[in-house]
Amino acid sequence: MVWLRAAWALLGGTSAYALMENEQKVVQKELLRPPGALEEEQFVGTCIRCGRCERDCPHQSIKMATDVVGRAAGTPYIVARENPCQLCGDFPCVATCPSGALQPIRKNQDIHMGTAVINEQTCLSWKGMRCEICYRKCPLIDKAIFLEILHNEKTDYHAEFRPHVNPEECVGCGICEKACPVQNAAIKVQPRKE
Amino acid sequence: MKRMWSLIRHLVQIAVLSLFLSSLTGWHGVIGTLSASRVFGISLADPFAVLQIVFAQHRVTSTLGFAALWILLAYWILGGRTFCGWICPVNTLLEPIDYLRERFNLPDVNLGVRTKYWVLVIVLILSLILEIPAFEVISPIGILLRNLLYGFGLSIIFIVILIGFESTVSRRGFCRYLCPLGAFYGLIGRISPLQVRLQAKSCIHCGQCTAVCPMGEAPLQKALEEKSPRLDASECIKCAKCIEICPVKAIQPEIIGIQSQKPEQTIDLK
Repeated sequence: MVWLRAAWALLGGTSAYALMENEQKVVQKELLRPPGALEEEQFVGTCIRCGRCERDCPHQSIKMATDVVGRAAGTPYIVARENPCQLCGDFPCVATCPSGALQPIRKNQDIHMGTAVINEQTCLSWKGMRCEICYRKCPLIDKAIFLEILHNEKTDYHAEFRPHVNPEECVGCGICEKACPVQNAAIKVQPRKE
Repeated sequence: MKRMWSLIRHLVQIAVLSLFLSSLTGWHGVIGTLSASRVFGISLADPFAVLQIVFAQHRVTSTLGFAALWILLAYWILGGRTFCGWICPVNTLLEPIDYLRERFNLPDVNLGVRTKYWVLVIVLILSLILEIPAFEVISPIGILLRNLLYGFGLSIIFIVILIGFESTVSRRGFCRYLCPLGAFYGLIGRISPLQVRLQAKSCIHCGQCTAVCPMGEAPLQKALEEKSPRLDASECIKCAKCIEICPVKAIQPEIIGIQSQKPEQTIDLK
């Protein structure tokens, strides 16, 4: 009798998880994690969902996923377009994390939150107008975002200053995404795949 | 004072909730949730949550290890499921609902007091297989505090379902039959020096203790049947309601090694 109950519980538990997993696979990959985060599988396995990082972030950039049901439930994430990571030198989020889900950062190059991607169809600079705000705002100016200067073929008179993202240097903070003046941001951070 | 224990206990419940919600004011002396927190500079953590992480990732930081150790020691000293009766915010939420239940005659399904130990085992197995802390993602304790602290989200549905379950299906059903954290602290409580003793010789079998107990018959049953001098530590949440209500003071807290040699009292009923 007891074994039957246990079997039901195991079946029920596993089914519930399978359902939640399936539902949440998309959401999980799209979450931009705080700096220093372990790779995603390890992150959701290590994070104790305490929210100390959310509280200790001086810019309130970190949010807790109370909207998510599944393995990423209650984990911290960042919405770049609203409030990007400011790459504080002392990384209080990492310092406060008790579980090691956020690992110490020695240099900015250690950070792998994601990579910014420019939409060449909507970017003002790419369309021949002058903008370059993302380039100017980027904390890793000339490294993560650099400008390619070309002759404007359409006007045959002006120069184009096309921003490019160097995926080797971009840490994925999202400051560019927040700064972009286009309503549907022409530069967005793609959260890291792993 | 007749209900001294209840007064102190409710004050502690309010204090704990206030302390954990205090960061909403901007003061960050206490941050985090019951799974892990920083309380006046000290890192504290739920030992069961840490255990799940150990099963999931096969490693744990020393910060989390010590944070859990202090809590484990504290609850070992304090009787284990004292967490449930004095600290747990879900209990604080569900106690008023118990009062509503007294008004209406609602169903009360018994899911078996052993079931929560199976949940505990399954949680650890699932943590191992899925490599995540399996209870933390669905724990109503975590979900409640996270929704209160970090903004309400879809996960609040778990709390709504819990309240619905508690009021209409099974009285304190989650706490009595399902909560693996309760099971965990219950096991700690069995080896705690703090126990609740029932003097069988004084007992007049009025039944008021069982009637008032939020955990039903389970904590007092063996003691009332004289199969044990003490209440079942893995079921008793140390709310002290039975201690307060016993007309002959047959139920008393005891600290093993210090008070266990108390002389038996007989009550003169003339």
